[in-house]
Amino acid sequence: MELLDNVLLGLETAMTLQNLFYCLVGCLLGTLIGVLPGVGPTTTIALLLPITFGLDPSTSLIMLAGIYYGAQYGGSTTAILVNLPGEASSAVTAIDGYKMAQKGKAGSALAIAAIGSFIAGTIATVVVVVFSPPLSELALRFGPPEYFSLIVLGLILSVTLANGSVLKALAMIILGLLFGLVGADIYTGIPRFTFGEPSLMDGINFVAFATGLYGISEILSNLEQDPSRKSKVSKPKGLLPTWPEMKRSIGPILRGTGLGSVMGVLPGGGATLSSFAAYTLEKKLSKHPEEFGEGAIEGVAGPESANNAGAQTSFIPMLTLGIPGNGVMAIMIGALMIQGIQPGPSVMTTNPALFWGLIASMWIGNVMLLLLNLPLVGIWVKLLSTPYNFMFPAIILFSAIGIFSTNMNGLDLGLVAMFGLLGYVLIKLDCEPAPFLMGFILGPLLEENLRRAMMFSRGNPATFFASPLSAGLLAVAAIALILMILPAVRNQRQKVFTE
Amino acid sequence: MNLKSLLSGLALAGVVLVAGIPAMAQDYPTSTIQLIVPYAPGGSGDITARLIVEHLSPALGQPVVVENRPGANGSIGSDFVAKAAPDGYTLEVVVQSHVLGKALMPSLTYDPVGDFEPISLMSRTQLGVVVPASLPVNTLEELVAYIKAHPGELAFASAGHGSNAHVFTEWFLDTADLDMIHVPYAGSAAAHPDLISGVATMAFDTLASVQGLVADGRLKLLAVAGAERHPEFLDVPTIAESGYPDYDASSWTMLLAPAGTPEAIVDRLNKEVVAILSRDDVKERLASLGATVVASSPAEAKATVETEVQRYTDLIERLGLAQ
Repeated sequence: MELLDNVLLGLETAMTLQNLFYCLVGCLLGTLIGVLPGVGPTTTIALLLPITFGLDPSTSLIMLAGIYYGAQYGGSTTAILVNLPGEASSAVTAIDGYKMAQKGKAGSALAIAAIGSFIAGTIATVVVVVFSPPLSELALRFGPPEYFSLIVLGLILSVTLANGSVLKALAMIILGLLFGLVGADIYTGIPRFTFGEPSLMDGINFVAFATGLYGISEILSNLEQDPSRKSKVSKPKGLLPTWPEMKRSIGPILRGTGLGSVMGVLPGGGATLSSFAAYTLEKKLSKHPEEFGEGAIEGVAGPESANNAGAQTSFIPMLTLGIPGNGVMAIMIGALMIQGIQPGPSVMTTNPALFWGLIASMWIGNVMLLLLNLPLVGIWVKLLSTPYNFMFPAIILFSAIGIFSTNMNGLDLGLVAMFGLLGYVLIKLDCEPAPFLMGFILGPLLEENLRRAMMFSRGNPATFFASPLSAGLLAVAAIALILMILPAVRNQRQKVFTE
Repeated sequence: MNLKSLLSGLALAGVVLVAGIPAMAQDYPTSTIQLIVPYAPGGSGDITARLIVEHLSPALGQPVVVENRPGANGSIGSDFVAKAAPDGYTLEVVVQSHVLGKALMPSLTYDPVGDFEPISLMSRTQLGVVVPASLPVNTLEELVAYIKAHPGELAFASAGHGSNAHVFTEWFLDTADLDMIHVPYAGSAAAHPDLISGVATMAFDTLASVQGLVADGRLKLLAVAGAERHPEFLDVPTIAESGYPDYDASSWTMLLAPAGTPEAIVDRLNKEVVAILSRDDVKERLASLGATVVASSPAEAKATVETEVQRYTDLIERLGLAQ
């Protein structure tokens, strides 16, 4: 059987001592940078690029890929422990993961994130092996109108990220959209809301935004209480999830994997959207939706699995079409080219050992990460018992170093402070950060695809209903919006009647 | 103290003073050199800079550290270099869009010509005209006829407003008297799905970036934009050969220092960089990125910047592409 031969070839390549070693190096580095706030995989991979010149192409790709998915594991650690999501996708994990940590269940949250990621990674590797060609065609079917409709659906669903009032959630999404407008208009190059500051031309730095909004505002509100107290966190109750917790998580893990595997294929934000979508789905399916936002383990298991599955399948457009789905992939394509390999469909036939070796290494890397992360859970949980008056300056210090070193730009630190204050005000107003963040991430994508679709259609909005894919997504969005508003309207009417 | 000893003292001081300047340049470098890359890590300017640094540090006997200061199309990093001390310890690697900056963004806080001392050109990258495989044209002439038959209805994709791909395409449209809609993307690769599926009709893109898609039959390469055919695609004509003899556009990377850097330091750096660029392994690495090595003298590099600033400023003003 050809497939089996290919998988064996892949394992043979990935299992050499050298490749195993570099896979481990990549996973370790990835976990480390994932844990460090501010430093992302894109920068790390770019900086390590020159080191790979001297390595064998498959070895260098295996190491770089290890950094990428290692960072996905590590990023959720800080989100759960100290409410610091380093990447858009782990912002969802922070919602329930951080609440779990505060209730003394950091161990369960971290472990279920690692286990979920592992299961998702394993299944997604199989998806990459079996479904690469049809999924890459799906990526090509997504033109500007389809992306626009998908993002509209994503925005509407992000209302469910909030627990409180629908109105406040909508307001937060719109506020996020407005902040997303900052920067040069990509269609004319004209600066918008940059106040003459060139470093705002590319928009507000996401890491500064998320660190301020989540991490710093949380510190501010914690400091309202007596800072000398040991820690707000309850005593840890065991490091591993209990059996009932595992049972509750298995469904979300599998559903998250499914969502992540499909959406990860879409270049430009598919993997990020999938973790939000997984959270929404779990909240809708759950018998206890009121637990979401208060530390529901499903709210960690689903998005984490989706995120990791998406990270894996986002390799599909790169491997089969040579199209990079995100910044990390773009640099990996550079790494391949410098080795004299042209990424694209021909890689599978001209360099089968490289192609299958990389895929096999993904699964091996996932095993390594699981083995690496489960023992680390104990250490992380111990860190939480550090007195808060040592902990919060350390969080601020490391965040500041990480954020400054990425762009060498002092303004980013000012932004962290500003969004920290804004986040604090929002906490006081009972407005939740997740829909705000979602609007901020999706706003620029929404505008870009709306305007692009309109340019191609010469200003005819019928383009959004012309393709069944786009029309279908818009229809789902409309139904979701109606379902969301109906109960609110009904309650309002009941109130009116009782009065 | 008599007059004679005073005079000889002065002469000695003069000798010391005169000798002092070359002595400083001869000692150069005595500490770490900062090489600014005004783009995010991973782009062609960044990779070229890192390739050179690998050999530049040992040649100079001092560490050369690459520092990325990305943002606003390279203008943040370039502004930093323009204002840095011209002592040879702050250098910069820029790509061709450096010469477009001032014309596109008149509010720019530095002058791409006057604020810099070019050291050497390093590499040249060819762009090509690509169309979807489904488009019923096989030569540049047929494409021109096709676009003329659909004035204002077809769109071309670019790597962004004011990117060199955008400006090169506008130049071509102007030369060939064509009317198309411009649809920018965030980088050239982001446009590939819409180009493959035929939503966009044409794009100028680097040969390295489309090579795989052309080989796979998803895109057709109709012409290259530079003065000469590309060694990997000898059967693909240049735009100049196809009836537009004055058209010659290509991208490049260049090493710069702030204006006022002593000539001796510029010459020393030029000598080292030219030597590095003549190494076979460096040539091979750059070739695999689709770039050709073009070492030059500081004067040639300066002339390139001046000619291109003139050419593209005129073009950008005439076509009204500035903000």
